[in-house]
Amino acid sequence: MWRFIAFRTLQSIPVILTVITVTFFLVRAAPGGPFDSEKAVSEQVQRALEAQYQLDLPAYQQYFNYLTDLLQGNLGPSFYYPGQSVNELIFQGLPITAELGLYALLIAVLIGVTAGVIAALKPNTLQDYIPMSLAMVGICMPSFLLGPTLVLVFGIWLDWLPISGWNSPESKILPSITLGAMYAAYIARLSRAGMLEVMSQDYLRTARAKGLPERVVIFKHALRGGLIPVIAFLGPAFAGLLGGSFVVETVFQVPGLGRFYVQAAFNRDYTMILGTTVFLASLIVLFNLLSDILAAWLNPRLRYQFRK
Amino acid sequence: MANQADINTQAMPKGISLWDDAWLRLKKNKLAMFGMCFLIIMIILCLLAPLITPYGYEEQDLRLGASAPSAAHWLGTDTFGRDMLTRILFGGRVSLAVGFIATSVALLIGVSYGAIAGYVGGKTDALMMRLVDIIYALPFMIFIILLMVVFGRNILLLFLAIGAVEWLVMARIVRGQVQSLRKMEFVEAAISIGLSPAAIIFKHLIPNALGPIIVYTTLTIPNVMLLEAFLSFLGLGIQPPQSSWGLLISYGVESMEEYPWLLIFPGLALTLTLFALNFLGDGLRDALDPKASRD
Repeated sequence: MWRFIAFRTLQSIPVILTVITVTFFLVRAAPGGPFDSEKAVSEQVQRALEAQYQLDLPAYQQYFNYLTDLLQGNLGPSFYYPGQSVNELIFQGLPITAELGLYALLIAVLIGVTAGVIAALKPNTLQDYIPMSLAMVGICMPSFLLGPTLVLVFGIWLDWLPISGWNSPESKILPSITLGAMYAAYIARLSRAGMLEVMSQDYLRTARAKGLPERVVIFKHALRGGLIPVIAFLGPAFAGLLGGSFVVETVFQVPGLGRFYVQAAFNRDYTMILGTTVFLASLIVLFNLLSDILAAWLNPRLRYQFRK
Repeated sequence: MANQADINTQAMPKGISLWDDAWLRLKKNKLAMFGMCFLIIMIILCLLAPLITPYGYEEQDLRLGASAPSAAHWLGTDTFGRDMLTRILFGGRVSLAVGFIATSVALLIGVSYGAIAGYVGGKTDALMMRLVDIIYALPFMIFIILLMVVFGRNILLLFLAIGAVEWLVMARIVRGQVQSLRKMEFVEAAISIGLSPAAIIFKHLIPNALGPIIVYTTLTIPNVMLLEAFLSFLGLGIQPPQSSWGLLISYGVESMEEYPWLLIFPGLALTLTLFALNFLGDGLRDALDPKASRD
């Protein structure tokens, strides 16, 4: 197990390094510098600005400076918001995005696993078809359509819930559902398939033969094996949630990290884009790692396969 | 192993080939057939858009403004008095084109890459697949946004960027197929008559891996269309005056309070098309690849 963890951890390092390098040079390659605004600035000012942000150094030197700063956890100053560092901006938005993501993930897992298990208990009956058709709707209806539709129905026509913002508990309901819906749908499909696979295995027949009540068979024996695909999916789902939060935060005007990122993209705030990309990418790589380790811990076969 | 037998009879003049067999199975799947018919109708409508609607794509009628669906404008008009049906059909051209073209890019890269890795094997294969693993672990949503920001928002780049994301899974699937086919006698025979590796890969191996390739392609198109709609919604994809369903939805959101039909109709067009593509993809998987897991 430890070897598995060590190997997977080492494997993440080139990924993060690639992200940093590619993003860095991509942003440098962008046509037009960050200070090419509509207002014409004199050459001295331009040069002073470039010197201040070390843009006058050769590219490789900028790159190594950036890496050294990064190792100390410093993402540099924001080009667009003078006097604010990228670190400050990220930590301003992060708690909100994390809260939104957590609620969405909870909704996705609770609804998804329940629907998937219910469907798998009686495959190819109405009890299977109804939750699975709903899951298909969840997959085909993108969040930028689902969000506004929910706002239209519950916020405007029925006037039950606030349509935007992130202050009161009620205002958090619609964004969380919007973000979680698609993942609930995927998790429902995965847990249905996982449960069906497990249900036909010998160890479940043994459990039933021992005379265990069906409830214990399902919840104690089948769930543990049947949910492995779901757990392996949580890492990629987390990455998707971050991407999805861009849209949901834009639709509901939630002041989170995703909205900052999209705004930075429009403002051509290069250090902010670079910093956020590196930060989010590292977070995603970390979560993929955790979900892989968890899946290996739950599924002994994966571990043994690795030991050989 | 029924498939294997089917492949062998393929060359005979009158047997049930793999494709006939798959077609028979697909025909029985009502949802998949519904999806296919829906798609064909949608594609024809979008292609023939100028013949179908009497209005121009950018023809404004400012006196009319946003009007609800009526006999003259079946799906209503937007705030500039432009006919929504026309706009949805023309937007559909772009959305579908992005779906098909970007998927073709992914297909081209993924199939060649996977087939070469699988056929050559050894260290080259290990290196090539490690690279795929690394790229696969990158957060792509973020990268595409980055690309669109850095290099401007043009449609060609959109095809490339989306295609560059979606080829990875295709490469893995094709590599797996080629690896298992590589050791079979017909490949040995091809080698022994002195065919070049390129000819073996493209003439003998890839045609035999066509089933999974078709299935995965069908399932990639809806993903690609979603990605395009997502980018356009954020304002990073298709730019006006061009239009796509994602862009129409984002306009619809702005005025949904007063004119909900501006959101509902483009939304329906996109959702139903994605539905149809997914149903068709699932049906094709059951038909061409009965043993594949249905997750």
